[in-house]
Amino acid sequence: MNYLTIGKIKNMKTLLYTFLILLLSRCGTEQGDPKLHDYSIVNNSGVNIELIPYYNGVKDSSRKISITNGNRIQKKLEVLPPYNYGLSMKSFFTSNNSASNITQLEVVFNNSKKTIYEDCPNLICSNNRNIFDKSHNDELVESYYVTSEDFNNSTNCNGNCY
Amino acid sequence: MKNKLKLNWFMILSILFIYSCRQEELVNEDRTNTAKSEINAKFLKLGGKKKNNPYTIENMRKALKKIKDDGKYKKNSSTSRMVEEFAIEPSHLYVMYEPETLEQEAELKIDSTLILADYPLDYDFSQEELDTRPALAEGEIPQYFTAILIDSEEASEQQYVLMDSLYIPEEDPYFDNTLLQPSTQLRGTDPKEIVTREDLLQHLLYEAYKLTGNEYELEQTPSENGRWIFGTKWYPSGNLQVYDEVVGRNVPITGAQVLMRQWFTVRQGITDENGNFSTNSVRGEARYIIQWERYNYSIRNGSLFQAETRGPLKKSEAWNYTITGGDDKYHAIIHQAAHDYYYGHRFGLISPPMNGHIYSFGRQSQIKIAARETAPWGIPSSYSHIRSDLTFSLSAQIHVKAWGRASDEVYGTTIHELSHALHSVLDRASYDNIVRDSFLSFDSTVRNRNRRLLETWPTTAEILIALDRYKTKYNNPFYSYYRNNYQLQTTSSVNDYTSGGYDMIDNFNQNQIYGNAYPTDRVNNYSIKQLEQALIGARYWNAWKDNIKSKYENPTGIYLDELFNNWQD
Repeated sequence: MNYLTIGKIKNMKTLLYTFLILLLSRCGTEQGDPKLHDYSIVNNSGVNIELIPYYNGVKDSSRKISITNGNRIQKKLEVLPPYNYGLSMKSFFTSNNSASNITQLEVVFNNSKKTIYEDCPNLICSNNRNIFDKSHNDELVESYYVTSEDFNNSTNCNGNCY
Repeated sequence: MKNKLKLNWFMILSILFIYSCRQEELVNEDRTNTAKSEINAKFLKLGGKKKNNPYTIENMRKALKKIKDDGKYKKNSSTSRMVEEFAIEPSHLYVMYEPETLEQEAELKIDSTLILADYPLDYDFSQEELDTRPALAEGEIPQYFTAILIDSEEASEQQYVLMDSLYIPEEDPYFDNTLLQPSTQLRGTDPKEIVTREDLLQHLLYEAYKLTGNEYELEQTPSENGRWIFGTKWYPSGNLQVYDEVVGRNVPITGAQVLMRQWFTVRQGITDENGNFSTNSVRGEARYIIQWERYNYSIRNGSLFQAETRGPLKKSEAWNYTITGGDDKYHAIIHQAAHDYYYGHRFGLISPPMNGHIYSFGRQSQIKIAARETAPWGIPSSYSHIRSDLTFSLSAQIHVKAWGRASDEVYGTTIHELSHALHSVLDRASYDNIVRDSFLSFDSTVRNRNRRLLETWPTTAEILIALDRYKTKYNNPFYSYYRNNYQLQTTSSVNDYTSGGYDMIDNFNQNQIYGNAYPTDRVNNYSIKQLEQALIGARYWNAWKDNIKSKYENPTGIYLDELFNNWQD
């Protein structure tokens, strides 16, 4: 066997191994590019706000999040196949990405006024400002803006909101 | 003369026979010694502590000789006769299996009487030492260790490396008590005297453990008025729970295999629907272990070794334990999904691939589920029998990469991958065709329509079975799976992992509720069993639809074209 033949054999082996590696790497299910979820809550209300979740109807002030006026909170998540997880506005209020037990969210404006949003069946809320509504939770990238109008429409606490 | 010739030939043949047997004996002995050296070198490096084995024939016989020499019994009595006549013969073989292919490993796993460990049984390892073993390479098969009865079928087959011959007195029927007495009522054994068989057992254990420097194991058991009770029989039991944060509380782990390990003795129990388990009796102290494996599937940890949760060493004490996080919780949830699919009602679907079952393509081996915490070279969660077959079945068929995610997502991902596996045994030829065209076709239309079928089916099963656990079983009417059961998913955002399958079951028209960006779904009330059966022969998206139409009567079937057309190739 001469060197030309040996060379050809080596090339064929390399080709075969490369093919096998490519084949094996394509042989599993769940192939696809990662999807980037990017969710933000932006405070444009003109005052500082605090967001306090309720779990199974019980308020949990220890999990409250404060956002000063003009600032935001943001979460990003890279999602791989089978793409059966992701972000929603609830994700800010849980220790992991499952938020199935959050039932209400209280938005307190400058400890003077507040609004309570309730989780809605099928994510269809009667009030489209409700942070749980599908319009704020159905895309890969979502920003929920707390506005001055939200502040104006909220309920007066008549003293301490807590 | 003739007779002398015959005799000579007979002598020569006999000598040759004896010589060849001895050679084989020497070869086996060499193999044992080599294996022991290699095992010692390998596992001592991990930090494991090699224990001097009290159960070897040699050590047990030494222990018995000591008892006889010490003479702690009345001379010329029935007790002295009992002790003098008592002899020790091998009862078990401590063996190592070294399967080189998954086929060989599958042969081991088909034998439901074998309880295998992928670490040697005469070593002490901490959980951390086991967890930080260098990972197996993809396709590498670990060595397995177990003890087998000397007169068992496995012993006669001799497909193992013999590590040691053992005498395990706790397993000897000679010492069986016909009645179990609560330990508080036991007489206990006087360390200075042998009167009964029970006493002989206790003394034998004590001498063997002492001889091998293991007496501390026995001395951890407090004595009763100075009398030994370490070898007394008791029945392990307990309850296992896992904190499932999606349910919001601790829930039972059902169908988990709990082992009681005591050197070479193993007892097995399976948790029931309340998480309770019990095993046959053991004597003395034993360790509770949850081995995340059942006959049909085995969960492998991140290093691809058998996933285990090591419990405590106990004597006459139940083990009630709640898993709250970490690897153990990950393995528990994956196990629960696999168990529910294999052993639950699964809506009447066929079983995922069953160990040892002969399918049209051949015999199925135990499904390995690799519980990945990080993905090497970019493997996400996946199922592939092809990858497994092409690597001579050395690769795990299922990889679950959902570490750190919510329990329902871990559960759902496992169900998703097992649903691919189910599809592959339901109709292997069509499944392979779908997979091939999904990834290797040069035509994007073909790839899209195949991929949509490939992934919509398991997404359907995933939604339904996750709802069954979290909404129905745990009675949470407000629970919904990801994105409101995939209903909050626009047609343009996802072309493959669609809601199309679940849409044929539910009564929710996304387009009507959410708007034009969402699928129009006027189809309802098909069963998942019907959708499963319609997969047979379907090699792309619309072929599935055509099968559903032709096989099943449903008044909303007139809207199947509309539903399937939501997603374009």
